[in-house]
Amino acid sequence: MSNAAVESSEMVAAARAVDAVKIYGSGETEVRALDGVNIIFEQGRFTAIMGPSGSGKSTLMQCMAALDDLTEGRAYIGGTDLSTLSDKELTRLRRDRVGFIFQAFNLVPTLTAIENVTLPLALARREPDQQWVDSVIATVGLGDRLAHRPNELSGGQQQRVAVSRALAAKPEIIFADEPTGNLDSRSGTDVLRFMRKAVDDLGQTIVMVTHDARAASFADRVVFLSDGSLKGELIDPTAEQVLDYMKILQVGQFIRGVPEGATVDQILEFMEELEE
Amino acid sequence: MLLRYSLRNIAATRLRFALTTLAVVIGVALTVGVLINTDGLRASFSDMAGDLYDHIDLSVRSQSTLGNVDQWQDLPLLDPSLKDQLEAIDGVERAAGAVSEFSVVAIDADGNALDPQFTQQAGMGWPEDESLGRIFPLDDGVSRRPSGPGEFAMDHDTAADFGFQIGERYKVATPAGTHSFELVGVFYFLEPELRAPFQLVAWDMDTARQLLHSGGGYDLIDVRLSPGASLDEVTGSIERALGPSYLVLSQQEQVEARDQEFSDLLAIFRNGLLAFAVIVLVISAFITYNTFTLITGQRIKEFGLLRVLGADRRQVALTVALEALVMGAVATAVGLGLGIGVSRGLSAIMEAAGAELPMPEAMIGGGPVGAALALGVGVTAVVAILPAMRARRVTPMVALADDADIDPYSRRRSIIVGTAVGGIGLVLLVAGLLSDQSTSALVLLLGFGVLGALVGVNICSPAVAGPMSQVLGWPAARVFSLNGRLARLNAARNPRRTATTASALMIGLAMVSLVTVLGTSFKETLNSQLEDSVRADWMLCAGACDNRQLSFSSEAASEIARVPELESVESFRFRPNGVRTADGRQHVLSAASLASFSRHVEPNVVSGSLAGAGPGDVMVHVDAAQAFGLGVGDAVRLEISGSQEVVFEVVALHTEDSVVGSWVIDLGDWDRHVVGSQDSLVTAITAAGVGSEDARAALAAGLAEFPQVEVRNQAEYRASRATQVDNLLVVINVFLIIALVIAVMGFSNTMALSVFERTREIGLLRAVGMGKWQIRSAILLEGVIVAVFGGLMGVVTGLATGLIAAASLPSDIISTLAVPGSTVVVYLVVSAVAGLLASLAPARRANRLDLLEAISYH
Repeated sequence: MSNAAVESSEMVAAARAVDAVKIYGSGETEVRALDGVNIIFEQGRFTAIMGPSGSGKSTLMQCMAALDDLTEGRAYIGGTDLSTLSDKELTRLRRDRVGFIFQAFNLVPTLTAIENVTLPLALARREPDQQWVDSVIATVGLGDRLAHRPNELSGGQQQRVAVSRALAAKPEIIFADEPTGNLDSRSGTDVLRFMRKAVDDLGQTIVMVTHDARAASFADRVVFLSDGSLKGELIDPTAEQVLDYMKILQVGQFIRGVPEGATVDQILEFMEELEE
Repeated sequence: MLLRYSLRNIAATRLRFALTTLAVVIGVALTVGVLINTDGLRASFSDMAGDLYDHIDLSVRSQSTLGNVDQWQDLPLLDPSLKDQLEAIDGVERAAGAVSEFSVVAIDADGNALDPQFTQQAGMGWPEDESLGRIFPLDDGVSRRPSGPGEFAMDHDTAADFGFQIGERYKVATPAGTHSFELVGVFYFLEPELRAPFQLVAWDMDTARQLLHSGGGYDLIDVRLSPGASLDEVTGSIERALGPSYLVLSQQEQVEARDQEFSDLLAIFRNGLLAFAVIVLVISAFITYNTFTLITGQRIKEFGLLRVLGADRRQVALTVALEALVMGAVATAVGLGLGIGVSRGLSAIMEAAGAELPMPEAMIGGGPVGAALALGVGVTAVVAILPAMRARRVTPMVALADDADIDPYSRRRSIIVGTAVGGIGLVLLVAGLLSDQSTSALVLLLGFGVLGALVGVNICSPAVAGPMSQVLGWPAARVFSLNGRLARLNAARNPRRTATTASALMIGLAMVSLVTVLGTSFKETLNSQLEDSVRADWMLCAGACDNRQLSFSSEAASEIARVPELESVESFRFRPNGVRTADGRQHVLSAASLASFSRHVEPNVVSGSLAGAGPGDVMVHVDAAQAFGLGVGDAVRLEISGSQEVVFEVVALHTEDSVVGSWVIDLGDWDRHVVGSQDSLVTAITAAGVGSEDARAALAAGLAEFPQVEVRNQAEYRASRATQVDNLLVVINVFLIIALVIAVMGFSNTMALSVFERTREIGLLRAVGMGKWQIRSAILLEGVIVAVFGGLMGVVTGLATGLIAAASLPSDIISTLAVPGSTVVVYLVVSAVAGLLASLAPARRANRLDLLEAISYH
């Protein structure tokens, strides 16, 4: 996707990054975590960001979720350029327009499940839309555990509370950072199903970072990140397709003649040429 | 929701919260208790003052230039004829004279003088008209009014307490010497059924005038107006009739004057107690601060989470502030409640000590409530500022970051900031040392200096905690091998945690050491001054020698002057507030035979000479002379005992003031200008060739008629004077023990938090095979190392600031610096034991942790 295309597709973009660069440290210890990323996350879709450790996928998500700032380039939530916002405006944006799901659940241990769910609304001093909250809770299936504290819930249940928390404030977009990373596969599948359902039934936009191909297969679209730049994407993939893509990315680095930083398509092209 | 969140956090950490709050509660309770108690005392005194002048419309006494209306004891006496003159004035229905004198001591059947500790002993004339008096005769069928020179009466409670029987004969020591009288009745003073605030004896008016005033006139004359007479008009007529040398006081003026006098007295008492309540509060504040810092440190990821979920900086800071406010509110409420108990306790202590004070009513006025609120909420609010600011700085990214890089500790920064703050404290202390401030300004300067130094050391201490723990932990590592090494490592590894844990003890011991240095130096100063100045072999005082107000008949001195075993006898008289200088301030007036007393008490004359000095001369302390720009040969105008201005010539400047005081006149002038000629101190020198036991026996025989007078040699005299300081030190020590208990509590609290922080690590140690007792002993040893570190820092800081403060105080208060060496060692041992005890609970808790849970804890 070209730079111009990203700039022009504002209408359907829930969030986008333009020439995003993020550099940690300086001098010899300098790390380019993001190296000019252009990407659009469409409204109402479930997008997964895949990539090996250190690929920059978490950094991309943090910068797009207004948790961290870019060194260069711009990140947008809807039509809002994050780099132009003050700390107060960023806080308001996080509170009103963005939801977040963590790998480690990150529930407040002293609050009950339902209090955790409505905490962002309380922080925003917004009256919860009770009907909406009820439907979220029904969707996530937490009915009988609402009065429990996080330490009385299983990991899967805790993450479902965290998903409900993200959904309750009706944000424009939810970012999820390895939401199944701390869960066994059954609980993980549950959580992913709920996220899928939130997109299908509630029209929620979700961006999920993961390195688990099976998790990524729940998404409408999977984008691949490596060494701080995008290497390709798949629409409605199966887990196998995702795995293949990952393998190609990894193997491609070791094939002689493949240019450094090549995308999946470039590698495939090169390999086809080789066969010929 | 934020409030609920804060409350939940408090509920989740109940015990820690309670312990921390308790520290503040004790500080608040002490302060409030002191306030309630003194408020109550004041109210009771006020009632008493009201009773004192209840039915007296006007009183007439000699005009005083000494402002203090209540000093009628020292004023020129009123001629009895004045009474008739007053009754002749239109609007005066009745006029009655009154006579009274302090230091009039009844002697019980066994020949012992009644103990004057904590009360006043006074004699008075039976009112000529009981409706104008303060005495209420007891209608018990036996008591009657004393009449004639052979009879006396006593107040009901004193008679009952000391077993006096109506109808028996008893001796009473009076200014006119000791005489025997028949006890004919008992009475109530001020109000029927009220316990008298003094030990009182009374004679008929003529006898009282003879005994108390050598046959002179009245102290004052009370007046009752005719029905319907105008107070203002009658006052005017009396003033016109008597002229300017008399003063007419209305009932209201007298009550107010009494009130003021009581308030002033009470203020000294109150301020002393409050000073220590403040020390306790400062320690509580430090402990609260440390706990808050630790708690917020542990929750820093949670703050990050709140930020991710859309909390703004203010909301995050608010959660910390709310917890502080809740803690403050609880501390206020509980402290207020406990304060009532403290107030009762104070009364009980004073009562047990023998003080005959009216029992204050437990009344809680606006003052104590305001103070409780200001201290409880104020202290916690101030203390929460820094942790709240730290919470405010937390970014959303913290929620996602690894633990290690959340809050890096900067050794450099802590040294710089700590040194800066401590430096300010030191500058204030040195400023106090060098400057010539008034005492209150000095105390303020030193107080803030000490506070600055403590805060500075507290900030710096993480920087030295590492190396110090290595050093202090060396013996542990040697003796206890693995556990010892582990303890040492744990103490040294996270210097900030070690310093935070140690700081409660540090602050506590710093305060304790500081006060001990001051107390010891004060005592040592008095002792060395007395050693320096007292030359006489024998010192005679009524009761203990620590009270200059107690006096006895000059007959005693005359009596022993005739004892052949003694070659020289001197009399000393003191009157608190007896002299007023040009600046309007009042000082102790002393009198002695100027020409001869220096054989008995060395005044250390630095300029001028006492040779040939006598009436008309005054000896002045160099400090006072400097303050008033006086030199030898100068004339100085002094107001003596409220009656007149007298011009004296300065004949000598001296430096001694622990016995003779700053303004010393000749006995001849005293007799001429001051009403009442009792001695406060009589000194004697043994004749050559007489053994000291013989001299003592001879003295005792000579003083047979004066059982209230006690004979002391030099060492006994110094010891007696020191009891005054010792009594003070006892009170101080009670407060210090409270302070130490709070400090140990705070230490235990932070130690528990510090172990809690390492839950995972301890789980790991257990998982790799460390035994329970090994874990326990490692934690106990760590506690000892950290506690000794805190104790050492505290003692050093306390001694250093204490010595500077002691050196800063005027030399008449402290001139000799003393370091209580053995006490310091005791403090360090106490720290070590406290560290051990305080670590017991955390060590037990660490072992109760579920192993798997500990490892998976995050």
